Amino acid sequence: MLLEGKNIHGGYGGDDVLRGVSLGVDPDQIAVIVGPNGAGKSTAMKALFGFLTIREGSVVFDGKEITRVPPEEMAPLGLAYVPQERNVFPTLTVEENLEMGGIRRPDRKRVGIERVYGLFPPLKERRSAPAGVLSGGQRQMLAVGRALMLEPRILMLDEPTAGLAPVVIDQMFDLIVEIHRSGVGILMVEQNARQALEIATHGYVLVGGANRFHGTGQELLSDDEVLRSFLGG
Amino acid sequence: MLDFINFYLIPGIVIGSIYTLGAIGISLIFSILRIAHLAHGDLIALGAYFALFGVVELGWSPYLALPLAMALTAATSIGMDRLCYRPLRRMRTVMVIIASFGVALMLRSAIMLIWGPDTAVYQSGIQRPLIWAGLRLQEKHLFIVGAAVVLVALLHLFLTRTTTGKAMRAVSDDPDLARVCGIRTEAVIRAMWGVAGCLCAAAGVFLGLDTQLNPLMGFSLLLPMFAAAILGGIGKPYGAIVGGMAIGIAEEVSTYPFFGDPLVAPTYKAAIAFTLMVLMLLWRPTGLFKGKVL
Repeated sequence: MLLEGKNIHGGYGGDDVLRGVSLGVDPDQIAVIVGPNGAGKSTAMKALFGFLTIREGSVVFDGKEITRVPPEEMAPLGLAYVPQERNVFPTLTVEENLEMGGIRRPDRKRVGIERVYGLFPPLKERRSAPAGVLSGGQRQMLAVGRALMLEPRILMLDEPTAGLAPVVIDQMFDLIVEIHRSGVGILMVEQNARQALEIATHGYVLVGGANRFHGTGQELLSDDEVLRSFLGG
Repeated sequence: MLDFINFYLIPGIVIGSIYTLGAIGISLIFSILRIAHLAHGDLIALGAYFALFGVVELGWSPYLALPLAMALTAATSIGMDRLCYRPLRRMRTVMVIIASFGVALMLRSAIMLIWGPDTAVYQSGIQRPLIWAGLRLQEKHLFIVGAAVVLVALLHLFLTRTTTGKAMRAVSDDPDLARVCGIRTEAVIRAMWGVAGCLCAAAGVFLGLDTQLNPLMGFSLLLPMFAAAILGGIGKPYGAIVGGMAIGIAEEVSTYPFFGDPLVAPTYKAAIAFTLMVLMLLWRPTGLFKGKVL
């Protein structure tokens, strides 16, 4: 796989939060991580992106080990990540946020900004507004747009629909599918597990910081135990 | 009225400009590193002495020595960070604040060692002010205020128009998200020290022009500069402009004999900055421009 974490053990310096997590994603996949609260879903994603002290196991990207590569060197590899909260710079304008997203691709700045505005017309209207005053949906658009500025090969999304209105959630899922169709691998953590698994090619169920199930999205949706335990029957 | 303007308001604006340059640096450093930089005053003094080197050893005018002082102070700031603060980056910020106190003592001692403990001036003799419609304008005062305005304008352009400046604001907003974007935090911190060093040198040279140089000149600026940064909202460089001018003008104007006697005896004018800072912390700890709570 293009991005793969193998048997990761580690945490934020104290006790291990992850106790043997393996997951990965390819450009032709939409991989979804589901599981109960505290299962280490977001932590697993941060581990792949270099934010964790990994005690055991490894992260490999495009055949190269990147276990100890710091987060700021992930962008040049083509790895983009949208954290769940605090995913825009509130005092920077919309356009400045996009510019920061593409800071490691200076040659593609103009093209990237126009592309994001094409994808999210409301952002173009508010290009000079500070990101802190945007609505929840617009802020999430900006966060995803900022990540797309890299023209990433893999896009990692941590709960992209958290706190959004139902109609905006549907738009967000449509958008994720659209981004995926342009050749970007998607790895996401999602609370709306059922909806996410419906668009997923692969699903990972994490419990207690370790893998519990792994299969295609359809396999997980039709698995009785997964249905009962994590998708509410 | 003219006396009020000539001998209270104008000196207030001049000292306010100097406080502003220092307070902007303090705010900028706080916004990126989350530390109160206690060596800021002594860095200012060092900047003043670097210009003295240009004046005495190279025979330059203090105005010409300003860019030299800025370059040397910026380099010193970056080196100081590399040696004294960067090794502590992952530790609690209080460690770095204590380290900055140590750096302050080292800088002050270095100044005494190199230039001696006595006072010095860039230019001796009295310069006649320009009199214009009753206003007494001194050349050095016009230069100080004018140059401060230019520097603040340049800083604004830097922060809003250049990629490095925007990256600096991004790191200040959210250091983790900045790393996610691929911003190299250490490069941003170096640039920040460069900017802060230049502003320190300017403040030092201006203070030296306005009064005189002595190895303790920076230390006495520390309190009003912090008061200015807090008044404006610490971590908000633009607030520091308002804070610096407010403290400078308040200090001078408070000694005006509004009711026959000076309102506040000049000896106590340093207390004005402290009083304003305490009142602001009580009334609105985030400052006028909603900075961070210390």
